[in-house]
Amino acid sequence: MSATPWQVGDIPGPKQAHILRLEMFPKIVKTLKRPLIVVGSRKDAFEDGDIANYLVMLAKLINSPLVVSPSLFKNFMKFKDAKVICMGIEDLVNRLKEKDWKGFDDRGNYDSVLFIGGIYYFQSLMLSTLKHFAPHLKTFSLDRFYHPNAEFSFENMSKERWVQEFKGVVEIIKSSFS
Amino acid sequence: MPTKLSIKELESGFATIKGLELLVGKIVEEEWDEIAGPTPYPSITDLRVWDQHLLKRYEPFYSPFCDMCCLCTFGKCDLTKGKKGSCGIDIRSQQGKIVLIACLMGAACHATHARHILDYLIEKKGRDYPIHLGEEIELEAPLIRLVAGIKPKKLGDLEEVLDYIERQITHLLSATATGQEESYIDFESKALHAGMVDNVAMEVADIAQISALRFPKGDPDAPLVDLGMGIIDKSKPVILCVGHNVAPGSEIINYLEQSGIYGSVEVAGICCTAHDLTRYSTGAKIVGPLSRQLIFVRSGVADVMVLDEECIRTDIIDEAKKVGTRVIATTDQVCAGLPDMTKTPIEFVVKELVLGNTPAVLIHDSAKAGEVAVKVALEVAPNRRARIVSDEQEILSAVLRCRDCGRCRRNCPIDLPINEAVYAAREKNFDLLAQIYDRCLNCGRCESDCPEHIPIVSVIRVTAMEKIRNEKYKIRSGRGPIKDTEIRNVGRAIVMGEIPGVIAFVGCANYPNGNKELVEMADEFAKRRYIVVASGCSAMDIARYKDEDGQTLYEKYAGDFDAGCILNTGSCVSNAHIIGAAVKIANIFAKRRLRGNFEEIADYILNRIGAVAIAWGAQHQKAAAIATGANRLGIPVILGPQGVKFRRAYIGRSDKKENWMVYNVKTGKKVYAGPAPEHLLYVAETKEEAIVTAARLVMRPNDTSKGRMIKLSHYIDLHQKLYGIIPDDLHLFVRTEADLPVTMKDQLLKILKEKGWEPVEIPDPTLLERQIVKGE
Repeated sequence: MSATPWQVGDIPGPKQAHILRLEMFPKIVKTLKRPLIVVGSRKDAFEDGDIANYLVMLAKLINSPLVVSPSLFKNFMKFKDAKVICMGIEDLVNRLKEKDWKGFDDRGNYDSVLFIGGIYYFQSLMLSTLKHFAPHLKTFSLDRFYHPNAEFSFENMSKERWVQEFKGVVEIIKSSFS
Repeated sequence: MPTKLSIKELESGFATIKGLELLVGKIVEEEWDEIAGPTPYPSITDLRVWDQHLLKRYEPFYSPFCDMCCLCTFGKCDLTKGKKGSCGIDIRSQQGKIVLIACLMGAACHATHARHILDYLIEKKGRDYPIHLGEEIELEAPLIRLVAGIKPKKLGDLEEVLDYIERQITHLLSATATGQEESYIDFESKALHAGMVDNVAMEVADIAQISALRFPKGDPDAPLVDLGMGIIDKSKPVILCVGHNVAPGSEIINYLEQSGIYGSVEVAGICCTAHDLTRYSTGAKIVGPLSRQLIFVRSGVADVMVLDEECIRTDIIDEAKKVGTRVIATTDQVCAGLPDMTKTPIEFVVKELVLGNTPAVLIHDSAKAGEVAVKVALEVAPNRRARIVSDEQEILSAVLRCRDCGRCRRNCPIDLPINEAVYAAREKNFDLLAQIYDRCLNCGRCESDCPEHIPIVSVIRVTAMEKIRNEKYKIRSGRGPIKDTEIRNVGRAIVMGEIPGVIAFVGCANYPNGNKELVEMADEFAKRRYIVVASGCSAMDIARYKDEDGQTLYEKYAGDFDAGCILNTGSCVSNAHIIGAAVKIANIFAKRRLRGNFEEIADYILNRIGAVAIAWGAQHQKAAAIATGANRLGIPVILGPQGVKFRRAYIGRSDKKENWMVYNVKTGKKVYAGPAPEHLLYVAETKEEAIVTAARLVMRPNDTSKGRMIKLSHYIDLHQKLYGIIPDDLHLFVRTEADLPVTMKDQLLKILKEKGWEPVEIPDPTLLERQIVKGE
């Protein structure tokens, strides 16, 4: 499948996301000075039990907290060695768009936000908010749906391919750190 | 409104005049001795300062749905990366403009509906027909008194209120044109104004029809009536009314009664006109909310469909024609290209419709439309079976054409896995389709982009036939306003926080996961003894589920405005009574003056009344207007995830202490009151988030310690139950140790200590400096 919006009508305008490819990640990861991973509420994104484990591994590798949409928070409580924060995504995005927000550790706003597992149409508009009002942030969509409002997004792909691709991303980052 | 001309003293060659006063225009008999506040009939800038108070604390949060501005011939203009359009507009102001336009569309719908029903009722009953809402309701029109500053006594008095509303809508719409308003904050102030007049228009419409059409008058025991797609008796002729204006539907019932055949013809409705039909006559039936429209019409069960206004699918006449349902459109809002037969002799119109020479007509006369509908239904019903071409096998065989391209899913507004379900049906596995049925919005977008032209909505309907047959529910008919006596009973407990809150389920049926979540939310709050109220499509969808005892929530809970009850106020325009209840509390319980006194009452509600609305399936622009009007009065609204497409929220920042300062009325000191309520308009991603957010948003600075303790108990309990942890922001809502739930006190104090919590003063709160009474 190609880089057309997952929901066919979700065409925002001329500025649309660059397509993420596996081989880009070693380079990208070096630019992430202060990343934040945002986990949406879509349970089916984590049907493959390993995805959550890989996500936490990614968070640790890039030294990012995980902000988890409240209704999925319980699923992440078991990861005691990761910094997992429970917060409504709209509330979070409202803070992220303020350049001088202090962040969760009082050390200032983040420089990049990686979204995964959000309801497509909701996440699309959260990314739109950041596209328009948070020029200080780079945004990434790690979902299996092309999100034109992100700065970088995976293209549309099947569940099976996405599981492989996502795990591949974590592995490639892991190896770039070793 | 009369204009007063005074001449104190005039000497001219023509005459000498002293002390002359002339009143030009309509003179309203003045029997209301309440002193008028500062803003009767406020202009679009009179409440701007209040709006700025709100918008400073609850900064507009925009989620542009589209990066382009396409509103003039300069465009399209790309507004990304801080670029401005040819007219100079940036994305923030452009979003504010779009939000204002949406609110105006909503307000205009309610104002037009109000004008239509008022004109109809005045023609039937006369201008002097009294507005009377029952013996226990003296405060008949809280929003009209508050905004217009008049106390309406007769139907004719409502005309000047509508004149005002229509003038405001025109002025506001003008501000959206190129070369007018430029500031996003002022667009928002204007949107709040549009929302306010929308709410007043709803009140005009509903108190007029309650008074003149004998609807229930605040009756907690309003009758239980039938709802569901399975409740229609197909052995009878069936007339289906769709829309919001009950005039033609009531005339159908009148004609049936006059002819002595009421009961032998089914009169049913979809969307809010259905609510109002059952308020008019308990023999009428509710098929369901807007989301049932396409699927029910396709069943071909309706012999005649009568359209009035609002929420009517633009393709519904074509759909009706396909199954031989005859159509009568009745208002100037939906002419649909149909021939106008308003002045054509009835027998000719009936003949044209029956023969199918003209299968759909326009009749701008409710009584005539009612008579035609009945006569046509009686004649065409016997041939219904023959005209329904629906062949289940043929419909089902269409799934064999599916090649799993996924276009259906990618067109679905809520991303349902339709392709998987249809593809599975190829192998005669219909389980997935059955699951889709429970969540489907029946918008039909899936099939309109299907390259194989599979009639997906019909496939879903046929595979769910057994479920549809069993859709038989009970809903309490819309009771209308809250009684003054009920307000006296609960006002104190609400303001002090001892009743944890009022939760209103309002708006359309555009849910992310079907209606069951709505039922679960309503049940959760009723069990916890919040006051639960509902209206419109949400009120219907709360009824569309039975518990293990076979009861709907309306059978399980009483219909009073009291703790642990669930009440249905009625149709979309009955939302006015939910918002009006908060105004009534300020007046009846707290003795605050209403007359033209908007700011003070809004300040009272924002700081003291723990009411929150949940519009879980908000879809129509009317929902945007209603919510924005509620927001101006200080009532927070939570939207479901699809509500993000309204593009704007009003979100507070609990981490900015300076945003939560209020005056203490008694000392004049500015004090920190905590983030209560934290947001005015917020989009929750899931049911769980909506529940916990509502439990948080009912907190108000004025809560007594006992009240705050009760509210915190629910907030903490729900947070633990649904999120798995004690809330991280607890310290923001605890003013003193006495606020803490007793059973958890030690545990919570430990958490508070870790957060560096210190007690703060509990103020008598206001945002308005003029409310300070220090030294008096």
